[in-house]
Amino acid sequence: MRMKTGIRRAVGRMAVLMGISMMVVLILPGLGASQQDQQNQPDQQKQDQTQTDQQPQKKTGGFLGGIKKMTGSSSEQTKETASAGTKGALDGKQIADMTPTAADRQKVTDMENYSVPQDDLKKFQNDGHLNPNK
Amino acid sequence: MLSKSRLHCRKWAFGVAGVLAFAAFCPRAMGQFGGFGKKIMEKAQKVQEASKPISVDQEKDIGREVSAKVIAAFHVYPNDALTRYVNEVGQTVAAQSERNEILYHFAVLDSDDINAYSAPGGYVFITRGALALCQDESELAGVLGHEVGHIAAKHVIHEIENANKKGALASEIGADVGNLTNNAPGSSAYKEALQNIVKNIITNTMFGKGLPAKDEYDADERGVRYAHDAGYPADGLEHFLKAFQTATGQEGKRSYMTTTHPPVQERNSRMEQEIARQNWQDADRPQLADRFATFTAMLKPKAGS
Repeated sequence: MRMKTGIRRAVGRMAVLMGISMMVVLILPGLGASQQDQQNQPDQQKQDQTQTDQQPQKKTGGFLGGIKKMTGSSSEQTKETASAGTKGALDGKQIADMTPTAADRQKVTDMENYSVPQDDLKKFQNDGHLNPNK
Repeated sequence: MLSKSRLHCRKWAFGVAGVLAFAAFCPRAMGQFGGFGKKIMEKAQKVQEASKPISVDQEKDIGREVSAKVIAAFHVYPNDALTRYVNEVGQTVAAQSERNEILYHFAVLDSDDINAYSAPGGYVFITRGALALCQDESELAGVLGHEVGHIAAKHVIHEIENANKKGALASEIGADVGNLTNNAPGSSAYKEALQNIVKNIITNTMFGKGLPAKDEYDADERGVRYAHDAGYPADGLEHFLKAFQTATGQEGKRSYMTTTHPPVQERNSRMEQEIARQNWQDADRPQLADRFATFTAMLKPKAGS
């Protein structure tokens, strides 16, 4: 019994020592690698920025163009559920489990492509005595 | 005083933690220790991969997918003039945000629920119910400003990244973020990870427990600032929340906002303090109630109904 406890203690100590010694002996190259990762990060951000800058010019108007044509889709099938949801039946899991139709995805694309022409936006801001820029 | 067996367990735990910590710092060197070392190395690599930040493109992919599900659930409200108006107000407010490397997109949802949502990457939704509750354009600007604030501060993205860092080995989200950041867009691993992350955002953040209270207060503060900088009165959001409290409290209207956000009184109290601190109590600023009414009259309940 005593011997078993002694062996356990010895194994425990060995594990502690092994962990500490590995950390001390080999931690430095690891730190070096992680510093290198950090140095690479701004490059990744730069790349993201470039990709963003390369976005195509946005179209104007036509945001809700396709909405009335949306029939026979799975979105249509779930319309009853969705309407009930607005009254309190739709929970997060149901929304998360929804399968968007091609029409639903098209609406997201329309949303992305929609933009108010700059002159019109300026007029809107002037009419309201608002600030156009930061 | 710890018992002997607990002390023994602690020693073991320290030992294992030491090995794992070493493996996390120096995965390549662990290859020297054969099969066991290889396993530890794989785990450590998993942690390292899952710790990569989510890129802007990945953020947009997440937002696009969340938006598709939100639109599938609630549908877009089919009114071109109102959509344009909400975009005009939204773009005016978003122009004041600190984050301008992304574009902001706005849409109205065909829902009675009083709420507004934002998805990562620049997608902002406001419900028909919330628009009907607004009294003027400054309130709408405050609500949209709050949502733009969440996107500008990357609250949802940071929430995913933090959950990931805390339990990359134990949690599913850890593996999902790792698969998203380390696989090519369009690959099946990327798509699967994207779907899992989106489901997590919808069930937990948007329609579940919500974001941490500190993020909501931060979005309130940003919303107030953007609205003020755009030229609106700074207290539009505050007024809207008061009306929201009345509508949900006395009239019994429902909203996810009550379960996903901190109490209105606390939010308003903080906003009042911020407005006073910044000296933004400007009574001359335009509330633009008439212009707002022109576009939203059809949403208001008719007298006697």
